[in-house]
Amino acid sequence: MNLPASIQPVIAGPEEFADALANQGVPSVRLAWQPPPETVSSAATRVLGDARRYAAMEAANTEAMTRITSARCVLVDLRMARDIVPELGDRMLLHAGPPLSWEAACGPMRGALAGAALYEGWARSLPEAETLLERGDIALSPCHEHDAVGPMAGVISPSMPVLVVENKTYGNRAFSTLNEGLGKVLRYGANDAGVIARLRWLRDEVAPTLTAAIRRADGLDLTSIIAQALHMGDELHNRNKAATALFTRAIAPSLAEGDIHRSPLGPRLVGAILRYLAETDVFFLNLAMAASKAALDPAADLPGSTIVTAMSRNGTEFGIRTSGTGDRWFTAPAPAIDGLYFPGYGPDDANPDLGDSAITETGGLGAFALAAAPAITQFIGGTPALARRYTDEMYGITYAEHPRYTIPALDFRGTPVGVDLLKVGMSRIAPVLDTGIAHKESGVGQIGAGIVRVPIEPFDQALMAVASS
Amino acid sequence: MALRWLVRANTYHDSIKLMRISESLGAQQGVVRAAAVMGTPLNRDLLEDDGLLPPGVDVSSDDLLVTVLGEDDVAADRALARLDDLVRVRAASDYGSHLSIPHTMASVSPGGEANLAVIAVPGAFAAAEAFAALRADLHVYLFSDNVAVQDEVRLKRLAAERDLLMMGPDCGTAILGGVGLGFANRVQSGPVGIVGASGTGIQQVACLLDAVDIGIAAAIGTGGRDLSSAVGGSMTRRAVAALKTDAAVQIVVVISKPADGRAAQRLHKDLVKLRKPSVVCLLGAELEDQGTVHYAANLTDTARMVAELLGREFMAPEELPKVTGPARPDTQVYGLFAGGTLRTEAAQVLDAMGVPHTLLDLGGDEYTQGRAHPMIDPRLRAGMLTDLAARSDVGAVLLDIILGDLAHDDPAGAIAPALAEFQANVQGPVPPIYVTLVGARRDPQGLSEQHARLEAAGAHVFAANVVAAGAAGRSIGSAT
Repeated sequence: MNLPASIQPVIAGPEEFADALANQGVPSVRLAWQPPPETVSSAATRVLGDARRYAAMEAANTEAMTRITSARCVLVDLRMARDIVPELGDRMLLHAGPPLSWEAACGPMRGALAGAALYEGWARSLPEAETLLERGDIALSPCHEHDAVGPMAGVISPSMPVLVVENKTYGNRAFSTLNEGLGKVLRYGANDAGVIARLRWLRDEVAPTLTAAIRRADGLDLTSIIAQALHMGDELHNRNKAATALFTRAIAPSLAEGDIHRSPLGPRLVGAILRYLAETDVFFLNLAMAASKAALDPAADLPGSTIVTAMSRNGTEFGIRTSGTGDRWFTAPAPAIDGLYFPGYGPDDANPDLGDSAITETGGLGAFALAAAPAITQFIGGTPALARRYTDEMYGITYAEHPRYTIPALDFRGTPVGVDLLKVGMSRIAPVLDTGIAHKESGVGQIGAGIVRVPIEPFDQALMAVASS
Repeated sequence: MALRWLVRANTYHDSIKLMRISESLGAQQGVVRAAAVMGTPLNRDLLEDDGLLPPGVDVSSDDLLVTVLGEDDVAADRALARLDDLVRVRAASDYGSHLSIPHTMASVSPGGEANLAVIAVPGAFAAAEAFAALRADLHVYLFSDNVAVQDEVRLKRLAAERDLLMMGPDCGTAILGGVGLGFANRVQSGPVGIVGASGTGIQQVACLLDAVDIGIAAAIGTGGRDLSSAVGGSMTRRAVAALKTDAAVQIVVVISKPADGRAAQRLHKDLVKLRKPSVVCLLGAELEDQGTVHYAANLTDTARMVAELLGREFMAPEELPKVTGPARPDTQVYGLFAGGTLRTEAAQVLDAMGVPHTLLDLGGDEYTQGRAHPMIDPRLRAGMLTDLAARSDVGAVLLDIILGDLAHDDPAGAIAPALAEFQANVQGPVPPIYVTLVGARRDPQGLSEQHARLEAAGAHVFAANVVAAGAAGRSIGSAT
């Protein structure tokens, strides 16, 4: 061993240690160290200090990151949920977030579940739908447990069309619904006649035409669209303007060339679908979510790994799943959101955070890629400098930089990807998410948008579970 | 009188910061006493006992607890209102406004510019940070104490695998690349390489050599337990090997508190094959000189032997004060030490003289939990010194005052009021006070100024700890 000829210190400790070095003319970096709970620190010591355990963790994490970042996710089809979503029961509704009971469900979630029951024809009125749900006559299950993800309430019912995204590298699939657009929509808990009618329109008119176009296009490479959109100001969670435009450009020829074009109704339908895409900036969100889900799922079960494979909220609880702990959920109460409100609304009106869309952050997009999306920062209440800061902060808690998702403003550095339980636990930095704010009462809809810091406890619990396994 | 307190939930500050906040609050006009502490059960009890906190305040160990006893409501409120200014954390200038500062060694990427981790967090969290730093390919200087010995063994094993320095835990001093880490004196650079399982031991030897213009090439701290049977001297031996290949090093010095016999034997074998002269001070372990390996009885002896090997003059014997007055066989020497090795060395001197003593190491684990080291925070020792006045069996007082970077910026000035109070309040003849002053001429506190300050406070001041201890022993045993 050679002694270092000169030292470049990084300090975890009182500022006097930095002062003592500065007084000798030596610059140093002083960490913003904060003490973790002792249980977390000893779990970290167990993992870091045991050679065999550490080697196993490194191998598992490296494998997890290889799987996550080598995914090539392609939109291959649009199908009825009942025909393709695994283990979706006849009278079952899927929802966002960790497992949830009707009793525990928040306002927007209840509104969306009741609306879906109405849409399916299981009930003729909302009170009847609520009674069915209250009695447990309709089964509830998390989207994540069916290879699916849904924004906000994230409700998927058997006769909703779902986008089918295939990870060509690993052969697995993920599903998500068609985005309903903005305004009064089921995902925010709205469920009046207009909402149900729009769902039927998506099913009966949009889906058949779009299905044919998707099949004709023979696979639309979502990973590539996401990579391009990051260079066009999207972060693929709160801003999908560029990705939706890229998608529209890619699907338009197939739409126009389709058989349906020859039928008398054809041109009108194609026009309606193009208008729907043009008016729905957020259309691609559901694809970004399904692509993220499809990329993360192959890493879902690697014992010893400390990489987070899902972050999600059901409006009542926030939950995570990790590579090293498989299907198990680790949860805490869903957080309140620090955001900007539309005129007339304020924090008292807000529902706690909601939706599977945090899968984008889990996969290295969304708030993790906020530095790529300076235009969005005003909408969520911030500045471009703050956006870079959030992205930079996330590098401190992630395991890798995404080789395909890069940020021009950071000299094309890859986005931070692979939330590492160890780094979260030791840094006390919890992930941040971009998010929309739902009114706490069902049916009102979106009342703002912002940034939310998720609770750290589930990460601590998961780390302790990995360390003691 | 008005008592005010507040609790800030989940707000952590290190013990030095809390000391500074406490001092600043206490110095406000109209404030009688003030304390800023983490809300541990122990701290809460202490404050309750002191009447600085009513019983039953709801506070946890993760909370900042601040209490102020003011002369009146206005003074107490005004002091508390300044808290925000006092707790403000300085921004790190190395980071641009848009970049966030890493929070943990686990977030430091290998292959960056940093090559050394300086870790001084509470003991319960220190091992995790040190493991993470080694994993990030950083040499580690681990100041923290209260680290489990099995973690120390594993840290040093990992460091050996990765060919990195693992200095510590409980490593008070190191000098690398001409830069002092932790408590270190501004000594000249020169031909001596030191490996020390003792921070103050390194400081004493380095300062005695500096006084005769012999400089230090590098000082590698290993942590006080390195030569114990559990740790087996792994870092000491690897550090010796590193000094062997370092061209700047002509003489290797090894300093430790009493060492495990087998660890000492292994070290001895390494040193015999070193092909550079070495001087070893194990404070108590008696090994025979062999070839180029020389054993020294104490720290001063170590410095003297180094000087002789280099063919240089060592310092003249320090002048001892005249012993006056009758012997006091019913008394003993009380020592309040900041340096553990200095305490051990003093005890050996007094034991050899047959002089009874009570010598405390206030830098030991049991005194530093939740509190800054006594070289930084003089309050604990000042309080204990003041309390000594109530004892009738104090024949002499021994103290060590240590200068250098990281140490208190005026340790002599900080202890002077307690010295005065002790001398004013003690019953009967005033016991003599002997101070070992460990410092180099270039130290920021000013060696001669500190020396003068201590003498003005009535202390006899020495550069060599064995001389101070000998003087203390002599003053008690003078008539026997």
